[in-house]
This record gives sequence, C-alpha cells and structure tokens, in this order.
Amino acid sequence: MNDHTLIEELTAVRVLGGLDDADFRLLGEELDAHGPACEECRVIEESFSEVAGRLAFSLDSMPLTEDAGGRIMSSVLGEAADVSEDVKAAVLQVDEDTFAEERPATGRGRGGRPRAWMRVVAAGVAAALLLAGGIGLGYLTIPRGESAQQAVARCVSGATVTRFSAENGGQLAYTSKSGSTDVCVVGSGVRPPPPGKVYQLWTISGKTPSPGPTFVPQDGTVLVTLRANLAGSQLMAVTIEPSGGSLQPTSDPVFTAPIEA
Amino acid sequence: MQRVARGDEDAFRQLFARYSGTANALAFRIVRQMHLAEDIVQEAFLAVWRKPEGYVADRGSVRSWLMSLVHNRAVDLVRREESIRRRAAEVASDPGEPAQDLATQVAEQVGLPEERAAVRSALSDIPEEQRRVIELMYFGGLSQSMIADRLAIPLGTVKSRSLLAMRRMRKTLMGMER
Repeated sequence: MNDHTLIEELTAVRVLGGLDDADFRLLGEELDAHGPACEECRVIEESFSEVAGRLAFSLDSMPLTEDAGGRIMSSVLGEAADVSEDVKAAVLQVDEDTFAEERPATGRGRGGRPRAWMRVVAAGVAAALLLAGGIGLGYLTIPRGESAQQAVARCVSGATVTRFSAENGGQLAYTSKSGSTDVCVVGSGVRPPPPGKVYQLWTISGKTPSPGPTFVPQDGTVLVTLRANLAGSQLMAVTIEPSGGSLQPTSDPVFTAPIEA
Repeated sequence: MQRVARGDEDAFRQLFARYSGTANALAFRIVRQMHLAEDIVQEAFLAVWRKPEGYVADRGSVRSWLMSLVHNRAVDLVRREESIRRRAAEVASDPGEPAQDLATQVAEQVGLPEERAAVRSALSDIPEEQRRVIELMYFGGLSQSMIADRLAIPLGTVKSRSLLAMRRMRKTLMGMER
C-alpha cells in the first residue's frame, strides 16, 4: 500500500462518517506528514467529499411540512425578522444630540438641515418600528456574529450624517464615522420598488461601482446596517435592481450621496 | 452562494427550497425521528446563513457541502447514547404523511431528478457487499468497527470495501479514475 492509498482509504471512511478515533488520528498524522501543499491529498479529500455529499441525492426527497419549513426559515432569517425589539430599542436610543455633536464643520451633513432632518428620520424610524409592533422593521442587514442592537447602536452612535439626493422622492441618509467601516443607511417615505425588484446600494470609485446589499423599505422605512470601507470611493448610490441584486448596476441611480474623504 | 454570502435572503430561500427536502430525507434516514431531522436541517441551514465562508467553490459543489453539514450533524447525533436509545424506541414509528410545501416540492424538481438517477445508478453499479457497507456507514450512521461487528467481517475489509466503493462511484459520478 503506497502512502496515498492509506490516506485514500482512511479518507473514504471519514467522509462516509465511519472513521474511528484511532484511525482519525492516524489520518491526521498522515496528512501532516504530507503537508498542506500535497496536491494528491487535496484531490482525494475533495473528490471523496463530493461523492459522499452526493450520496444524499439517492434518497427520495422528503419535503418539510409547511409548518417546519416556515419555522426553520423564520429561525434562520430571524437574524433579520426576530430582532424588532432590539432594533426598536437601539433606534430609540438615537437622539438628536448624538448627531449634533459629531456633525463636522465641513458640511458633511448635506441638504442644509441634516440635524433637523435626522431628527425627523430617527423619529420616523422609531415611530414606524413602534407602529410595526414587531412585525415589520423595514430591511435590516446585520453583520454576522453581532446582535441587531449592537449593530445599530454602534453604527449610529457618534456618527456623521450625509443625505442622499433623491430622484423619486423619499428621504435617505447614511451615517459614517472616521476610521470606521460601520455604515448605517436610514430613510423614510421611500417608495416600494416595482414587483420583483429591490433597491441596491453601491459605492462608486472613479467610474467603478462596487455592489452593496439590497433592501426593500417597509412602510417607507429603511434601516440598513453594513460594514463598508468608504475610503477611495467618491459616491454612494442606490439603484433599482432585480430581486437578489446585481453585480453591475442595471438602472440609473435613484439616490446618490457624496463620500467625502 | 455568492449571493447568500452577501446576505441575500432571496438567494437563501432558493437554496432552501431546492435542497431542504433532500436534507430532511438524509437527516431522517439517519436519525429516524422527524423532529430531530427537522432540527438538524435547521442547524445546517443556519450554519449556511451564518458562515457561508465555510463553502469554498473550488473544493466542490454547494449540494455536497450542504449535505455534508447535514450528515455530520446527523451522525453526531445518533452516536450519542441518548439519541440511539430514543431512536431504537421510535424507529418503527410511522411519521405519517405530512402536509408538504408545494412551492418547495416544485423548486426541488428543477434538475434534481437527473441527479437522483445518476447517484442511484452509481450506487447500483457497485458490488452488493460494498454497497452494504456504504449504506450502513453513510445512511446508518455506524462506524467502521460497528459495521465490522454487525457484518462479522474484519475491520480491514470494511475499510477496503469503503475505498473500492468510493473509487467506483467517483469514477461514475465525476469521471475520475485513479
């Protein structure tokens, strides 16, 4: 038995879930001896893993019940759907003083009345969330591994506010902090996109757009938190894209806002 | 998966609709209890959503990666003494005919019948004694030594049958001959 045959044999059993502890350790030792750059070991591992995974498809499908499917989807996507109370609390913590203290003298808060406008938006978001009663909270993208409250609170606390120019009505702004990648996009009165469409955020450097998350306002309210490195970009834009988003914009921006160095 | 990694819920729903039925079938085949199978499916899809970076496109297909998440969880579960005890008590119970989600059924039909036929054909092409080992190990959740005891064959024979079966299926399914 050559040295790869042993690895191949042990890997075959491992991907099928049958390897005992002693052989598991032996496989680890053999792989270590070959090193991570061993192409043969990599091919064995990947090809046998692929075959093992496909074995599941020999079974007849057993669709989940509607109840189970709904429960699972709710649980998984609950990172967005089940955090309404957290978000509500976080947004309610945002007061006008926070923005006033951090608003730069450079006029970064655009639109003439960012403080007043932000007050309206914050209140509007909070009101919308309160009215939603935990059912709808607009759209929220939370960085993985972080609670909604942590994400929103971190995003808006001490942030500066930049207002988007709107082509189709509605109000949208993003918050950012120097030296931080935390960005929060909030809005109110934003029209729903056409059926089958979503809004998508973009950052634009020169003439090159970089895709961001998609969102759909709920009752006109937008609340998106994300992490984005704005350095080197000059513009943030929002377009209307097919559901699921696009890698390149397929329509003209409906919201644009400058990104100042 | 790129869209899922960007937090695209629509993409995740499509992935769920396409593969949750097979994931559930695999989990149920191993753990033999519907509620445990559903828990495993939930855990697996939660892992997909929370840690999509676990999938590396160069290393294999999404479907195989996803089923490995389900399989690992199911095998871990049946290896625990408590679950084995419960499984033995309920293995004969009939889960009944649940009301199935029509949309999920329709979504799963896209392309998967051919995959099922291909995998079944590959399984049927290997010798019966090798197939038996594969079934006990992959679908039964038994370890190599458990299978050796069950079939009263040497442990080395279990390993060699596993290897020969996997090589043959790899050749059939992936065109790889080594």
